[in-house]
Amino acid sequence: MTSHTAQLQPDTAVAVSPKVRWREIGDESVLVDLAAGEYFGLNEVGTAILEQLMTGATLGQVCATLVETFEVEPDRAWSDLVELVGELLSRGLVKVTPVRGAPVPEGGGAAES
Amino acid sequence: MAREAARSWLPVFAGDAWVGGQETSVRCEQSGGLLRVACAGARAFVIAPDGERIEAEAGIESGLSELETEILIGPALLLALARRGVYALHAAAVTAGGGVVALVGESGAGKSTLAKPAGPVWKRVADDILPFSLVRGAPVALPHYPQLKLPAEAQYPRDAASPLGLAGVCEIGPPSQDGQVYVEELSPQAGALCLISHTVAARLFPEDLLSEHLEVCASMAAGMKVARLRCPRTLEALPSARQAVTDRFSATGR
Repeated sequence: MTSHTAQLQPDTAVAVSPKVRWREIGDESVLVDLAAGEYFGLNEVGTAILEQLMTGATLGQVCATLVETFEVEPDRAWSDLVELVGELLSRGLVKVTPVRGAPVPEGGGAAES
Repeated sequence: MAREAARSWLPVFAGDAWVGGQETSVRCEQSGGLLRVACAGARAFVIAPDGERIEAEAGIESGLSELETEILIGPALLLALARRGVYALHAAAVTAGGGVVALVGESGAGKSTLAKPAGPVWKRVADDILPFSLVRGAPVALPHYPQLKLPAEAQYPRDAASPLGLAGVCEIGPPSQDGQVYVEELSPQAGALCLISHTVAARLFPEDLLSEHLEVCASMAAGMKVARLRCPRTLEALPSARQAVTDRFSATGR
Protein backbone atom coordinates (compact mmCIF):
# COMPACT_ATOMS: atom_id res chain seq x y z
CA MET A 1 0.00 0.00 0.00
CA THR A 2 1.47 3.37 -1.00
CA SER A 3 1.14 6.67 0.86
CA HIS A 4 -1.46 7.67 -1.72
CA THR A 5 -3.67 4.62 -1.30
CA ALA A 6 -3.24 4.45 2.50
CA GLN A 7 -5.50 7.48 2.94
CA LEU A 8 -8.32 6.01 0.85
CA GLN A 9 -11.33 4.89 2.89
CA PRO A 10 -14.96 4.15 1.97
CA ASP A 11 -15.99 7.64 3.17
CA THR A 12 -13.25 9.37 1.16
CA ALA A 13 -14.30 11.65 -1.69
CA VAL A 14 -11.94 13.20 -4.22
CA ALA A 15 -12.09 16.29 -6.41
CA VAL A 16 -10.78 16.23 -9.95
CA SER A 17 -8.16 18.89 -10.64
CA PRO A 18 -9.31 21.85 -12.75
CA LYS A 19 -6.23 21.11 -14.86
CA VAL A 20 -7.82 17.90 -16.12
CA ARG A 21 -9.91 17.59 -19.27
CA TRP A 22 -11.75 14.40 -19.91
CA ARG A 23 -13.48 13.10 -23.03
CA GLU A 24 -15.66 10.02 -23.21
CA ILE A 25 -15.31 7.96 -26.39
CA GLY A 26 -17.83 5.18 -26.42
CA ASP A 27 -17.55 3.29 -23.12
CA GLU A 28 -13.94 4.40 -22.63
CA SER A 29 -12.31 7.79 -22.27
CA VAL A 30 -9.15 9.85 -22.63
CA LEU A 31 -7.96 12.22 -19.98
CA VAL A 32 -5.41 15.01 -20.46
CA ASP A 33 -3.39 16.67 -17.73
CA LEU A 34 -3.25 20.24 -19.00
CA ALA A 35 -0.44 21.15 -16.63
CA ALA A 36 1.90 18.41 -17.82
CA GLY A 37 0.57 17.87 -21.35
CA GLU A 38 0.20 14.16 -20.61
CA TYR A 39 -2.63 11.91 -21.78
CA PHE A 40 -4.14 8.80 -20.20
CA GLY A 41 -6.57 6.25 -21.54
CA LEU A 42 -9.27 4.92 -19.22
CA ASN A 43 -11.03 1.64 -19.94
CA GLU A 44 -14.73 1.06 -19.32
CA VAL A 45 -14.30 0.50 -15.57
CA GLY A 46 -11.95 3.47 -15.18
CA THR A 47 -14.38 5.67 -17.06
CA ALA A 48 -17.27 4.57 -14.82
CA ILE A 49 -15.15 5.31 -11.74
CA LEU A 50 -14.21 8.80 -12.90
CA GLU A 51 -17.80 9.57 -13.86
CA GLN A 52 -18.94 8.68 -10.34
CA LEU A 53 -16.10 10.54 -8.62
CA MET A 54 -17.00 13.69 -10.52
CA THR A 55 -20.47 13.63 -8.99
CA GLY A 56 -18.90 13.84 -5.52
CA ALA A 57 -19.63 10.20 -4.65
CA THR A 58 -17.53 8.65 -1.89
CA LEU A 59 -15.29 5.71 -2.70
CA GLY A 60 -17.73 3.44 -0.87
CA GLN A 61 -20.57 4.61 -3.10
CA VAL A 62 -18.43 4.22 -6.22
CA CYS A 63 -17.47 0.71 -5.14
CA ALA A 64 -21.11 -0.25 -4.65
CA THR A 65 -21.92 1.01 -8.15
CA LEU A 66 -19.07 -1.01 -9.63
CA VAL A 67 -20.24 -4.17 -7.89
CA GLU A 68 -23.75 -3.67 -9.26
CA THR A 69 -22.81 -2.52 -12.77
CA PHE A 70 -19.99 -4.92 -13.54
CA GLU A 71 -21.12 -7.82 -11.33
CA VAL A 72 -17.74 -8.17 -9.63
CA GLU A 73 -16.87 -9.14 -6.06
CA PRO A 74 -16.68 -6.18 -3.65
CA ASP A 75 -13.01 -6.93 -2.84
CA ARG A 76 -12.10 -6.86 -6.52
CA ALA A 77 -14.06 -3.64 -7.13
CA TRP A 78 -12.43 -1.95 -4.12
CA SER A 79 -8.97 -3.07 -5.24
CA ASP A 80 -9.46 -1.69 -8.78
CA LEU A 81 -10.92 1.53 -7.40
CA VAL A 82 -8.08 2.14 -4.96
CA GLU A 83 -5.50 1.35 -7.62
CA LEU A 84 -6.92 3.90 -10.05
CA VAL A 85 -7.58 6.63 -7.49
CA GLY A 86 -4.10 6.08 -6.03
CA GLU A 87 -2.60 6.53 -9.50
CA LEU A 88 -4.61 9.70 -10.09
CA LEU A 89 -3.57 11.02 -6.66
CA SER A 90 0.11 10.30 -7.32
CA ARG A 91 -0.08 12.32 -10.53
CA GLY A 92 -1.92 15.20 -8.88
CA LEU A 93 -4.99 14.70 -11.07
CA VAL A 94 -7.33 14.40 -8.10
CA LYS A 95 -7.10 15.37 -4.45
CA VAL A 96 -8.83 14.08 -1.35
CA THR A 97 -11.62 16.35 -0.17
CA PRO A 98 -12.71 16.67 3.45
CA VAL A 99 -15.58 14.41 4.42
CA ARG A 100 -18.72 16.46 4.99
CA GLY A 101 -19.54 16.79 8.65
CA ALA A 102 -16.39 14.99 9.76
CA PRO A 103 -13.97 16.65 12.17
CA VAL A 104 -10.78 17.81 10.47
CA PRO A 105 -7.96 15.65 11.81
CA GLU A 106 -4.82 17.30 13.09
CA GLY A 107 -2.12 17.76 10.47
CA GLY A 108 -4.35 17.55 7.40
CA GLY A 109 -7.35 15.90 5.83
CA ALA A 110 -6.08 12.37 5.29
CA ALA A 111 -7.96 9.71 7.18
CA GLU A 112 -5.97 7.16 9.14
CA SER A 113 -5.69 3.72 7.62
CA MET B 1 8.45 48.79 -28.82
CA ALA B 2 8.17 49.89 -25.18
CA ARG B 3 4.80 48.18 -24.99
CA GLU B 4 6.22 44.99 -26.50
CA ALA B 5 9.11 45.03 -24.03
CA ALA B 6 6.62 45.16 -21.16
CA ARG B 7 4.69 42.11 -22.36
CA SER B 8 5.12 39.20 -19.99
CA TRP B 9 5.34 35.74 -21.48
CA LEU B 10 4.25 32.65 -19.58
CA PRO B 11 6.15 29.43 -20.26
CA VAL B 12 4.36 26.64 -22.12
CA PHE B 13 7.29 24.39 -23.03
CA ALA B 14 11.05 24.51 -22.73
CA GLY B 15 13.28 21.67 -23.83
CA ASP B 16 14.93 19.93 -26.72
CA ALA B 17 12.91 19.20 -29.86
CA TRP B 18 13.55 18.26 -33.47
CA VAL B 19 13.52 21.23 -35.83
CA GLY B 20 14.65 20.82 -39.43
CA GLY B 21 16.27 17.47 -38.80
CA GLN B 22 18.31 18.47 -35.79
CA GLU B 23 17.67 18.50 -32.08
CA THR B 24 17.65 22.02 -30.75
CA SER B 25 16.60 23.93 -27.66
CA VAL B 26 13.02 25.16 -28.12
CA ARG B 27 10.95 27.47 -25.96
CA CYS B 28 7.24 28.17 -26.39
CA GLU B 29 5.51 30.91 -24.39
CA GLN B 30 2.10 32.56 -24.36
CA SER B 31 0.71 35.95 -23.57
CA GLY B 32 -2.93 36.93 -24.01
CA GLY B 33 -3.56 34.44 -26.80
CA LEU B 34 -0.30 35.16 -28.59
CA LEU B 35 2.17 32.30 -28.86
CA ARG B 36 5.90 32.86 -29.14
CA VAL B 37 8.25 30.13 -30.33
CA ALA B 38 12.00 30.57 -29.99
CA CYS B 39 14.94 28.31 -30.77
CA ALA B 40 18.55 28.76 -29.73
CA GLY B 41 20.48 30.76 -32.34
CA ALA B 42 17.45 32.13 -34.17
CA ARG B 43 14.94 34.96 -33.96
CA ALA B 44 11.67 34.22 -32.22
CA PHE B 45 8.33 34.03 -34.05
CA VAL B 46 5.03 35.27 -32.66
CA ILE B 47 1.76 33.64 -33.74
CA ALA B 48 -1.47 35.67 -33.66
CA PRO B 49 -4.33 34.35 -31.48
CA ASP B 50 -6.41 33.47 -34.56
CA GLY B 51 -3.45 31.83 -36.33
CA GLU B 52 -3.77 34.20 -39.28
CA ARG B 53 -0.35 35.82 -38.90
CA ILE B 54 3.19 34.81 -37.94
CA GLU B 55 5.73 37.58 -37.29
CA ALA B 56 9.48 37.31 -36.86
CA GLU B 57 10.13 39.23 -33.65
CA ALA B 58 13.03 41.32 -34.94
CA GLY B 59 11.61 41.74 -38.45
CA ILE B 60 12.70 39.90 -41.56
CA GLU B 61 14.51 42.72 -43.37
CA SER B 62 17.76 40.77 -43.21
CA GLY B 63 16.14 37.59 -44.51
CA LEU B 64 15.73 34.29 -42.74
CA SER B 65 18.53 31.94 -41.87
CA GLU B 66 18.12 28.26 -42.74
CA LEU B 67 17.21 27.47 -39.14
CA GLU B 68 14.68 30.33 -39.06
CA THR B 69 13.04 29.02 -42.24
CA GLU B 70 12.81 25.59 -40.61
CA ILE B 71 11.22 27.13 -37.50
CA LEU B 72 8.78 29.14 -39.63
CA ILE B 73 7.51 26.18 -41.67
CA GLY B 74 7.88 23.87 -38.68
CA PRO B 75 6.70 24.75 -35.17
CA ALA B 76 5.53 28.30 -35.97
CA LEU B 77 3.31 27.22 -38.87
CA LEU B 78 2.08 24.15 -36.96
CA LEU B 79 1.03 26.34 -34.03
CA ALA B 80 -0.69 28.81 -36.39
CA LEU B 81 -2.58 25.94 -38.02
CA ALA B 82 -3.53 24.53 -34.62
CA ARG B 83 -5.00 27.92 -33.71
CA ARG B 84 -7.24 27.44 -36.76
CA GLY B 85 -8.34 23.94 -35.78
CA VAL B 86 -5.89 22.17 -38.09
CA TYR B 87 -3.44 19.72 -36.53
CA ALA B 88 -0.70 17.69 -38.19
CA LEU B 89 0.32 14.07 -37.97
CA HIS B 90 3.92 12.96 -38.26
CA ALA B 91 2.94 10.66 -41.08
CA ALA B 92 3.41 9.47 -44.59
CA ALA B 93 0.12 9.25 -46.45
CA VAL B 94 -1.33 7.53 -49.48
CA THR B 95 -4.56 7.38 -51.36
CA ALA B 96 -5.92 3.90 -50.79
CA GLY B 97 -9.36 2.51 -50.39
CA GLY B 98 -11.93 5.18 -49.73
CA GLY B 99 -9.60 8.18 -49.42
CA VAL B 100 -6.34 9.18 -47.79
CA VAL B 101 -4.78 6.79 -45.29
CA ALA B 102 -2.20 8.31 -42.96
CA LEU B 103 0.65 5.95 -42.05
CA VAL B 104 2.06 6.71 -38.61
CA GLY B 105 4.67 4.96 -36.52
CA GLU B 106 7.90 5.33 -34.66
CA SER B 107 11.01 6.54 -36.45
CA GLY B 108 12.29 3.71 -38.62
CA ALA B 109 9.00 1.82 -38.60
CA GLY B 110 8.85 2.00 -42.40
CA LYS B 111 6.30 4.77 -43.08
CA SER B 112 8.16 6.19 -46.09
CA THR B 113 8.99 2.77 -47.51
CA LEU B 114 5.39 1.62 -47.27
CA ALA B 115 4.12 4.91 -48.78
CA LYS B 116 6.24 4.68 -51.94
CA PRO B 117 3.97 4.86 -54.99
CA ALA B 118 2.85 1.43 -56.16
CA GLY B 119 0.24 0.75 -58.81
CA PRO B 120 -2.67 2.85 -60.01
CA VAL B 121 -4.39 3.23 -56.62
CA TRP B 122 -1.57 3.52 -54.08
CA LYS B 123 -0.39 7.11 -54.56
CA ARG B 124 1.69 9.07 -52.06
CA VAL B 125 0.33 12.44 -50.91
CA ALA B 126 2.66 13.13 -47.96
CA ASP B 127 5.94 11.83 -46.56
CA ASP B 128 6.49 13.56 -43.24
CA ILE B 129 3.74 15.94 -42.22
CA LEU B 130 0.02 15.51 -42.87
CA PRO B 131 -2.29 18.27 -41.63
CA PHE B 132 -5.78 17.09 -40.71
CA SER B 133 -8.98 18.65 -39.51
CA LEU B 134 -12.70 18.19 -39.15
CA VAL B 135 -14.81 19.91 -41.80
CA ARG B 136 -18.52 19.85 -40.94
CA GLY B 137 -17.80 16.81 -38.80
CA ALA B 138 -15.92 14.88 -41.50
CA PRO B 139 -12.21 14.04 -41.14
CA VAL B 140 -10.12 15.58 -43.92
CA ALA B 141 -6.44 15.65 -44.89
CA LEU B 142 -4.75 18.77 -46.23
CA PRO B 143 -1.78 17.55 -48.28
CA HIS B 144 -0.51 20.96 -49.47
CA TYR B 145 2.17 21.16 -46.82
CA PRO B 146 5.89 21.31 -47.74
CA GLN B 147 7.31 17.80 -47.47
CA LEU B 148 10.97 18.45 -46.68
CA LYS B 149 11.92 14.81 -47.26
CA LEU B 150 10.63 14.81 -50.84
CA PRO B 151 12.16 16.45 -53.94
CA ALA B 152 10.17 19.22 -55.66
CA GLU B 153 8.79 16.89 -58.35
CA ALA B 154 7.41 14.49 -55.73
CA GLN B 155 5.49 17.13 -53.74
CA TYR B 156 1.69 17.02 -53.82
CA PRO B 157 0.84 19.07 -56.93
CA ARG B 158 -0.24 22.65 -56.23
CA ASP B 159 -3.26 22.38 -58.49
CA ALA B 160 -4.39 19.02 -57.07
CA ALA B 161 -7.54 18.76 -54.94
CA SER B 162 -7.55 19.68 -51.25
CA PRO B 163 -8.91 18.93 -48.74
CA LEU B 164 -9.16 15.19 -49.32
CA GLY B 165 -11.35 12.81 -47.34
CA LEU B 166 -9.35 11.07 -44.63
CA ALA B 167 -10.34 7.39 -44.67
CA GLY B 168 -8.32 6.63 -41.58
CA VAL B 169 -5.01 6.26 -39.83
CA CYS B 170 -2.85 3.14 -39.87
CA GLU B 171 -0.17 2.79 -37.23
CA ILE B 172 2.76 0.59 -38.19
CA GLY B 173 3.22 -1.62 -35.16
CA PRO B 174 5.85 -4.15 -34.19
CA PRO B 175 6.67 -6.75 -36.85
CA SER B 176 4.58 -9.90 -36.88
CA GLN B 177 6.44 -13.00 -35.78
CA ASP B 178 4.65 -15.52 -37.99
CA GLY B 179 5.28 -13.92 -41.37
CA GLN B 180 1.64 -12.95 -41.80
CA VAL B 181 0.17 -9.49 -42.41
CA TYR B 182 -2.43 -8.17 -39.96
CA VAL B 183 -4.40 -4.94 -39.95
CA GLU B 184 -6.25 -4.80 -36.64
CA GLU B 185 -8.77 -2.07 -35.95
CA LEU B 186 -8.26 -0.12 -32.72
CA SER B 187 -11.02 0.91 -30.33
CA PRO B 188 -12.10 4.56 -30.65
CA GLN B 189 -10.27 5.34 -27.40
CA ALA B 190 -7.04 3.69 -28.58
CA GLY B 191 -7.52 5.43 -31.92
CA ALA B 192 -7.78 8.82 -30.23
CA LEU B 193 -4.62 8.14 -28.24
CA CYS B 194 -2.90 7.10 -31.48
CA LEU B 195 -3.86 10.39 -33.18
CA ILE B 196 -2.78 12.36 -30.13
CA SER B 197 0.58 10.63 -29.76
CA HIS B 198 1.49 11.15 -33.43
CA THR B 199 0.45 14.81 -33.59
CA VAL B 200 3.43 17.02 -34.37
CA ALA B 201 4.35 19.86 -31.97
CA ALA B 202 1.65 18.94 -29.42
CA ARG B 203 4.23 19.51 -26.66
CA LEU B 204 4.12 23.21 -27.57
CA PHE B 205 0.35 23.50 -27.12
CA PRO B 206 -0.97 25.74 -24.34
CA GLU B 207 -3.87 24.48 -22.24
CA ASP B 208 -6.65 25.73 -24.51
CA LEU B 209 -5.09 24.02 -27.52
CA LEU B 210 -4.61 20.78 -25.56
CA SER B 211 -8.35 20.77 -24.79
CA GLU B 212 -9.34 21.50 -28.39
CA HIS B 213 -6.86 18.93 -29.70
CA LEU B 214 -8.32 16.25 -27.42
CA GLU B 215 -11.81 17.08 -28.66
CA VAL B 216 -10.83 16.93 -32.34
CA CYS B 217 -8.86 13.68 -31.97
CA ALA B 218 -11.69 12.03 -30.02
CA SER B 219 -14.28 13.10 -32.60
CA MET B 220 -12.11 11.91 -35.47
CA ALA B 221 -11.36 8.55 -33.87
CA ALA B 222 -15.07 8.02 -33.26
CA GLY B 223 -15.88 8.75 -36.89
CA MET B 224 -13.17 6.97 -38.87
CA LYS B 225 -11.00 3.86 -38.76
CA VAL B 226 -7.75 3.73 -36.87
CA ALA B 227 -5.89 0.46 -37.26
CA ARG B 228 -2.54 -1.13 -36.52
CA LEU B 229 -0.52 -2.89 -39.21
CA ARG B 230 1.72 -5.78 -38.22
CA CYS B 231 3.79 -7.45 -40.89
CA PRO B 232 7.32 -8.70 -41.49
CA ARG B 233 9.86 -5.91 -42.03
CA THR B 234 10.90 -7.15 -45.46
CA LEU B 235 10.58 -5.72 -48.96
CA GLU B 236 8.82 -8.93 -50.01
CA ALA B 237 6.02 -8.22 -47.54
CA LEU B 238 5.30 -4.73 -48.91
CA PRO B 239 2.75 -5.71 -51.63
CA SER B 240 0.75 -7.79 -49.15
CA ALA B 241 0.90 -5.01 -46.58
CA ARG B 242 -0.33 -2.41 -49.09
CA GLN B 243 -3.15 -4.72 -50.19
CA ALA B 244 -4.18 -5.40 -46.59
CA VAL B 245 -4.25 -1.67 -45.78
CA THR B 246 -6.24 -0.94 -48.94
CA ASP B 247 -8.75 -3.67 -48.11
CA ARG B 248 -9.15 -2.58 -44.50
CA PHE B 249 -9.75 1.07 -45.33
CA SER B 250 -12.03 0.29 -48.26
CA ALA B 251 -14.49 -1.59 -46.09
CA THR B 252 -17.56 0.45 -45.26
CA GLY B 253 -18.49 1.66 -41.80
CA ARG B 254 -16.57 1.73 -38.57
